[in-house]
Amino acid sequence: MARSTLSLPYAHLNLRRNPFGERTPDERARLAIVDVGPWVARLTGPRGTVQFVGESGRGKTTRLLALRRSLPEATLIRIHPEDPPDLPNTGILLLDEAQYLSPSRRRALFAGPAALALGTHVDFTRELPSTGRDVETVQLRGLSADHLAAMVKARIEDARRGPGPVPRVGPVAIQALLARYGDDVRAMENRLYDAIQEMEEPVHVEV
Amino acid sequence: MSKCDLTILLDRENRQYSGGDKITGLLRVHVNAACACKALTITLGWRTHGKGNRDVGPPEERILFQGEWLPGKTYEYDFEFDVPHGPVTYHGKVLHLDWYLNARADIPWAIDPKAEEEILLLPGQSAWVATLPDLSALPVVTREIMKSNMGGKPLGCVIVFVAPFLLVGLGLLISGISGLIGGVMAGEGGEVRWLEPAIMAFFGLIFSAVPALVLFKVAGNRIAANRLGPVEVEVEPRSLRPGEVVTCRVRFQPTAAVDVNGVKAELVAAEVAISGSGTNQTTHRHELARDVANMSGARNFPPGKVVELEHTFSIPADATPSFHAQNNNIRWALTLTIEIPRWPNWQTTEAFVVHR
Repeated sequence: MARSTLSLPYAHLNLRRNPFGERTPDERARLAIVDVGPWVARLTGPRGTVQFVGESGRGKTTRLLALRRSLPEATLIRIHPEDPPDLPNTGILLLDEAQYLSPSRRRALFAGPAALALGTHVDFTRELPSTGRDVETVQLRGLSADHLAAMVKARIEDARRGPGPVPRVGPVAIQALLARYGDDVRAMENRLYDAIQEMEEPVHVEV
Repeated sequence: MSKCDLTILLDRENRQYSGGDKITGLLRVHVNAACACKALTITLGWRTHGKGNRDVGPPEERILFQGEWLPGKTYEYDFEFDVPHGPVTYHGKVLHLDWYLNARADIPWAIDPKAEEEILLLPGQSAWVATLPDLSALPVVTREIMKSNMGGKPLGCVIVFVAPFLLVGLGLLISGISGLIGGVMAGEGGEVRWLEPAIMAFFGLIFSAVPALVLFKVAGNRIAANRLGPVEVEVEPRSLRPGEVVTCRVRFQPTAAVDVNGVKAELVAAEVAISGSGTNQTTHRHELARDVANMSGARNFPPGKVVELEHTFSIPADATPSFHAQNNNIRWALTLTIEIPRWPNWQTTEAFVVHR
């Protein structure tokens, strides 16, 4: 629903914006509900390696962004299949969409001295240890109701305009989202965005 | 606790401004601990929010103070901005555009205290015109426009890409059919061998049909022009206000007698927002307005005779103005389609700008 431009955006919901809209990388990192501590410790060691394996919308990029927030010295690079970038071979590299690296570039990278955090659709468990790396593999599958509820609440609170009620996503809605979308957080965000868009007052969100 | 707290106080409680107005206000700084401020700045600028990646307009900045602050004190700094004429505040479905005042105190070796307030920018007396994007600089919009503009497809590249598949497919198809015929003939006195040639013919059909369909789709306008002759489309004016009219004219001279099912003009306004990038890119659309006109019904056009058709659309008085940025657009466009029975349609889409 398009609302009058004479009111502040989402003021009727006590929000500043739709909490489930597209976020900037900084916002994604700030709002990530993940404990990056163990991965930071691994990556600051020699040739530390961690790979986040999962389908689209499961949180690979969010984890890499959260790592960059904790490791400002790290270099975050998104690999595009049609335009592979030049990769430094030292320091800490956070590589998103690593499945697009060609086998020869992977071999050179994995054999090199850089610490690596990979976001990938393809599990490199077979390739990485052969280069002498001790790898932690994080399979991004499944999502608990508690974790989803915490993510949703963090998003809404970040968009809060002031004290008072804001839209709430209750346990019934959380279960409905999990039943309908499984662990596809991006699909849930789209559904919640549309639900917020239709709301007239800050009550329970229906999905 | 931060070294200081910032509060932006605006002169207008309703926060509503129009292009040409002045925004005046105070930036209040309450100091919690003695500190040096490298720069106390306030900026005015727009940014988008919604389903698309964020676009940000170039902010205008004022430096209000540089120096030392004493603990427990409250300081106030006046600021003033000339209000620009656009883009105006817009709250849609997949796209929102808002204006913000952002204050920031640059404190060395500390987290910079910040404050933000929204303002509402309403249409003013003077027009703000969204320029149609520089296509080379805006690949996303290029794709949006090129997607529906068949005349602009790089046909040569498509032919180079699909030709090998088409040749292999045709080869397999011919071999398969020959094998089937040969197998049946050879099998008249014994066992019929049909499985291998049938599989070959099946894959040949797939390999040749898909590239042929791609070629048919991409080269549709060129194929259609074989019958219609060169087609000229004119949209006028290219820049107009709500309540005004836009005229679509089409002119062609058939090279041979041609039947058409109809000539249709379609006006569409839509929010288009792009999220993600690369293989994760998603386009979100929300239609704001649609109007369809039949410029001609089914008829036969004789060869050599010039055909000229025209239709005028009224833009609604409350129409949303155009907006074009890297990832977020409010796009007005006219699509003209000449439908030819059992032949590819001729189609083009022409964008235009609606401004306040």
